[in-house]
Amino acid sequence: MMTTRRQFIQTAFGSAALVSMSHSVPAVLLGASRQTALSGEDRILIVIELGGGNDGLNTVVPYGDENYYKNRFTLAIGRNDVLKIDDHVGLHPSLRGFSKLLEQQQLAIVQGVGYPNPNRSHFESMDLWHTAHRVSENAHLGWLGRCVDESPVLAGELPAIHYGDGRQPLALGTRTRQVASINSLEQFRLNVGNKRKFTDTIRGDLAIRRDSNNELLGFIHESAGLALRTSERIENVLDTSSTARDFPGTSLGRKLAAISQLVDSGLPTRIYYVTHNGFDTHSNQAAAHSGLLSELGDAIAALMTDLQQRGHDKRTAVLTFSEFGRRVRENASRGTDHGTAAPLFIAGGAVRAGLTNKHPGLTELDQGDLKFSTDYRNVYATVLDKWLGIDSTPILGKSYDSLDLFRV
Amino acid sequence: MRIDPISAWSAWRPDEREPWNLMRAAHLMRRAGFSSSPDQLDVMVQDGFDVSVDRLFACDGAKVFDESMESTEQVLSSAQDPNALASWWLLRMVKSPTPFLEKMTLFWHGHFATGAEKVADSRSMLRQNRLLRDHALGKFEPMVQGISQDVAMLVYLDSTDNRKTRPNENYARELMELFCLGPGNYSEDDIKELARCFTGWEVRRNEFRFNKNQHDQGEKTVLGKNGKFDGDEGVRIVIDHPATSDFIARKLINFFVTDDVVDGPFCEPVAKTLRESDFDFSIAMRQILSSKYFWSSQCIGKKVRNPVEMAIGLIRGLGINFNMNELRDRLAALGHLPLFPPNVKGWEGGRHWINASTFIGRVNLVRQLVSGAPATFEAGSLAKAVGTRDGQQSGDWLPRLLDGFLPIPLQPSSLSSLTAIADRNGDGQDQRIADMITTLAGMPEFHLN
Amino acid sequence: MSKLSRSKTNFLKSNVPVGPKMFGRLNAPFRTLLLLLTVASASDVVFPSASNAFQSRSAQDNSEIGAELFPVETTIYLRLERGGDVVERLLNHPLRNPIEALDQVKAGLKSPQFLQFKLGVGLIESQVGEQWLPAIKSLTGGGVNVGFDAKSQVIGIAVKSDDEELLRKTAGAILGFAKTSNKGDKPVFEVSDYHGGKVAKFEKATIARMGAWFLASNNHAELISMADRLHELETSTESKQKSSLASTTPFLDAWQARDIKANGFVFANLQPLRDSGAAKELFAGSTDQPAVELFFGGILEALQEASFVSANISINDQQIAANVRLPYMADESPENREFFFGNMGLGRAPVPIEVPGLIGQVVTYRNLGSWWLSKEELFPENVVAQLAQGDSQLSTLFGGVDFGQDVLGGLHPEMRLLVKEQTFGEGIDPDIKLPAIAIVSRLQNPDSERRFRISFQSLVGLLNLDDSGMDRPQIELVSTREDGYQLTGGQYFPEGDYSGDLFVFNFSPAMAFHDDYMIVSSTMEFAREIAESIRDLDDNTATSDSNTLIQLHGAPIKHALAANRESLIANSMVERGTGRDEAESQIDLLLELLDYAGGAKLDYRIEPDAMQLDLQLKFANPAR
Repeated sequence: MMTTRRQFIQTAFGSAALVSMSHSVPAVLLGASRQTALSGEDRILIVIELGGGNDGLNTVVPYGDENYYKNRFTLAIGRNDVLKIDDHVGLHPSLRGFSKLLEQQQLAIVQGVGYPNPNRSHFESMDLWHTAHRVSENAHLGWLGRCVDESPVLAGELPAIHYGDGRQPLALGTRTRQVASINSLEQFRLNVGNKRKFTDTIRGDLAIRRDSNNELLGFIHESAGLALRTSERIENVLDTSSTARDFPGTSLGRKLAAISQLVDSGLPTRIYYVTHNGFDTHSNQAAAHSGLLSELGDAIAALMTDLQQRGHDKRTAVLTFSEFGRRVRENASRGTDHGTAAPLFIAGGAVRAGLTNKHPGLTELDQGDLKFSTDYRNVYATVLDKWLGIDSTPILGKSYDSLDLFRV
Repeated sequence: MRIDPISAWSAWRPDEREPWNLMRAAHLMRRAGFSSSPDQLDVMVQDGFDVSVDRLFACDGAKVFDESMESTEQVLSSAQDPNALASWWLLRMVKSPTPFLEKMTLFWHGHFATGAEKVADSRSMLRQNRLLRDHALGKFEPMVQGISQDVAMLVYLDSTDNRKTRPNENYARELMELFCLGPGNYSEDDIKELARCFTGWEVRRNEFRFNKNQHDQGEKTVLGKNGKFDGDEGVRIVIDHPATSDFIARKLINFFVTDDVVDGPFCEPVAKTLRESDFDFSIAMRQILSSKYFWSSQCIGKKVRNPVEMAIGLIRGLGINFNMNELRDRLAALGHLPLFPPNVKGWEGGRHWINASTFIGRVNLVRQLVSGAPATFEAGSLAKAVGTRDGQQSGDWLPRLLDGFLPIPLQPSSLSSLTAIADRNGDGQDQRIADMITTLAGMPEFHLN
Repeated sequence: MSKLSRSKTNFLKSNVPVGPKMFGRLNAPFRTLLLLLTVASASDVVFPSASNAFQSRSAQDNSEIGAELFPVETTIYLRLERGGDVVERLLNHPLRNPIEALDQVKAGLKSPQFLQFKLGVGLIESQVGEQWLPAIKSLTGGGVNVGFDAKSQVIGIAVKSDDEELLRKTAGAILGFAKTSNKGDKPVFEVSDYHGGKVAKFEKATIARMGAWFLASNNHAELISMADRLHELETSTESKQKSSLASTTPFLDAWQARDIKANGFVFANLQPLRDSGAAKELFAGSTDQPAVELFFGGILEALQEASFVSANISINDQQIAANVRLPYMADESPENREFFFGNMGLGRAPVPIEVPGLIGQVVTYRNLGSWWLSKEELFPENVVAQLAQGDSQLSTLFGGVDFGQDVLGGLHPEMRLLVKEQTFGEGIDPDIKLPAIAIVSRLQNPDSERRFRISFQSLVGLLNLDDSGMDRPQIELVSTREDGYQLTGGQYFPEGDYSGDLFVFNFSPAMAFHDDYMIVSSTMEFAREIAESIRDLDDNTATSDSNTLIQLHGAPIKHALAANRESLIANSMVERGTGRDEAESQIDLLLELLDYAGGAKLDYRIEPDAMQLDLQLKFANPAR
């Protein structure tokens, strides 16, 4: 029974014990150390899920390849419209935000990301991306959720936040701990009638010491103080800062504006997750895709500018992914159908900017689909090991090599 | 924890030093229910401890209530909006004449955690909810046998297909790890073998069925026992394992008694009761709720009030009519929406209820509950709900209200802050009392249970 | 009012109800008349003497005084004619007895608050020596006027009594009542003499009695200024008079077009409202919500420039009616809102179809294709991007057919939407019973019928695929050629062992085609019924006078709601957090009250110089 007990305590209460320990350190000191030291423990990852299957070929366009123009008879992006990266590929003209980030050395592009035996079902492929499935385990656990459950790096309060409405993404699926879903910064705003009076009274009340033997009361006492301070900071940002105005008024723009404010509020959160849906463009793709990409590029560019101004750019990385790319040949409805490998993007002040790995090329196809050149788990391993400082081997169930994506 | 387990779980009796009073009645109702109004607590004090505990277990009075809810829940579940069903359950918790039964059901729901979003069929969720309620104060085996063939559970755990050639290990794994034994009491081989017992168990058209052709008729070895077991027998073998009583006792104690870690030897007297009563929860719960430990200072106030307890407690305690859909959204943001557990393990609870976002959310929710619109008070006004009479100063009613709400006394300075708000000049009485209760919600003591 | 203006009003009145059908014939003379009207009202500004002449005449006719008492900047003005009649009408309404007989109302009438109110009324009655109803009738006999200034939040009330003596006694009684119920040591009001009347100043309000007039305001200075204006109007024989709301062009325009038979008149001065920055979205002229644009784009167009909006309100035993008027030159409507107005503002809804037992019907002129295709001009960039995504998804759903161009663009702008309670097959009794709903439109190109049908079939196929994955019942498609129309529809079939939810049986999606008509309905039966009604029409392209017309019928609504009583009760319990008994009585009260709802009609018309919105709420008098 002893082993059971120890295991039980470790899994169920290990994190709680850590939290309570962190509360025995005065929160002010804790906050101060967070602001100054820029070690791996302070780094933040923002994941943007592009739901529906982004057309990679029209995102990073192989404009130097004749086959591209043969297969994309109505949807091809003209050679002169492409935002050129090198003499073979360039960005979709709506990705002005991304080309700006490239110029500023803040964007890495990993080409040809996929996995063996591609699955063309939205759900099943998305599940793979979300879970990076380990063998002999139920499929409820996300790759990020496992980090929250298992990594001491994420043992603190609010380790991850899903920002948005609706169901929590499987990627954040945990077994023991709970991940917060927040759909508005207003959730941090006190709504209590006369707020001034309330906070004055409570602040005065919290200044009174409680019975030091009551550890649980001590925990809540600390948490209440921290909550009030966080709320005040976020409210302050909400009411005075121009952040929201500097972001595009799109849905993704608003989400990233909020995340930028959360990052700046000093919240200990390390992982943020948002979704950007609508990429399943089977018909009339051109206008829809262009809108989606400009929303994506403009929002991330605004985020990086904002983070830079507040001094968080070097500790933040933004990762985009989509469940799959689309078929090389467009269909009869001026759209594209489910495909395989596609590029993904990592933005941030500490990324190794530019193209990583080769474009899969349009000559060697697998039943009309691109062949992947980078396994997505190599990207995950890189992000975990090199960025968040979390050992990726137990999380991914196997050791995957890192890519050279960060300048740290 | 240096307490002798035998004495800890032996029966407590009120005496002169530890009298049966309003504060103790409130402790019982906060843990074994969702709080009660001061007037109801007075009745309990008058009726005495034994009668009050007996009444928790008497569920006959719920018949009329159940009937009044039946057609309603039918309609709400056919809307196929799992959110509507969650609102309905919250209303049940608010209105139920047998709150202890609802609390037990909530416990089992967290134990057999199943998420309505994934199940995506309100009727299956309703069926599971009824199953849990039917057995909540009954016996373990029929409940586990029922849950093992429960459509919502099997859909939630991706176990709707169990073929002879490819046994699905999901349910077998969770049955042992989460429902009965806890980690460390079984091997990967036990999972594989148990999964073979469940072959042929399928869900089709939201109904469970046994597909004989897909059942593996061969010999299995589960937890050291050999035989040509079927699913039912597999479940029974797991339940009969000695680790089960310990595991369940600890979960009950952590839900009803203390957030502190409790070890096996300490829980053994409760585990023993479970084993000896064939896992009869009305017997085990009676032992727990009447134990010296439950009534000791080690336990009173030693839990974090979970969001459902906090909200439903205030609603029941003050007789508030509140929009359950609104409450549902608030509870979701606080991470505690019934029918929507965060993962297969249910709610972790304890200190995890409180963080920078949820603390603010808790205060805001209390504010909304007591500040009138869209809520109304059954008593007509908040002032009447807290038990004031014309012209009374807070000194006449506040102590009684706090005794009913808080497990431990406030600091004297906290109390005078509250008094100052309640008795200030200007503003209507309801406004002042609402401000006072909101301020109370900002104090750490309020969040203890 | 001057003879000239009254005759103008009458002329207008005699034409308006004839409506756009006559516009075709009367267009030229009507336009001339409009021109005259415009010149006449403009001349009030251009030639001050002319307008003064009008004002002094109207000032001498005391019964017309009202708007003259309020300042030019008044944002909202309300006049109630014969206020006592309205009260009397309500009290004598055939609905009163049944409503008072309702349990909840009975309880309300016995509540302490109501009894106290009754007591106060009785006290004043005994002092005045008259029953309250006849008293109110004569106290308000000369009209009730209310003016409100949005910027300063000042409100002024002016009521003219038929009986000066009665007013004196009543005012005395009210002041006496205020004095006796005062518990403090300071007097609650100060009385002074002014212009031969009495002014009583309270802490937050001032009231005055000047001859037959009773004045009140929440602002002392405003009340004094009202008293000054009144004094001047009643004593001065000169034509010179202070400028007032009544001298402004927007007000005169609205006042002249009012319905003199109505019980009430409301005027809102839009320019000050726009300047005040209130309700910005309303006056912005555009919206970033496509659905709002689709339904109300034309109204937003008018609201950004119109100088006023006015309304007449009439109440009688059979109905409550309101007529709202918003000036707008329809022939100047912009091209990007042609989807709403039609060319030169001449877009007209089709005539409603007669189908027995309808819950309601909406007929409207909306060119969906042109609305969708003008999105770049109508909406900001991010909304256009979202619509482009929608276009892509919907095109996929419609089997690759271009949604904007071919689906929406393939429809005539004359649209109808019909709703009717449906009946269910033997043994099928879903807990929630949705009414059937159908959209009726005409195809620009009748040859596209096939394409629409194929899209419909592939849509059903998709649904089936999805349902089969979820283990739900599936739709079987049938396609038949009936007498005069073609019907394609699908029906769910409960399989033998099906024990699941019956909600899906609310749907048996169908399409029917007759001539160039296309009917898309949630049930086959309804599609059939509508197709037959259209088939039997003499002229199935006839249009109405309206841009949009909405009809609702009380009895079928009640019937459809009553069929869902259990579900309404459940929702009421959850939403109000109450037990079953309380929810039950609340829902039953609602259903009972619906017995008295005859129906409602909303008629929105675009006329050459204004938008008109007629709203009618008809009462029913159920035999019981």
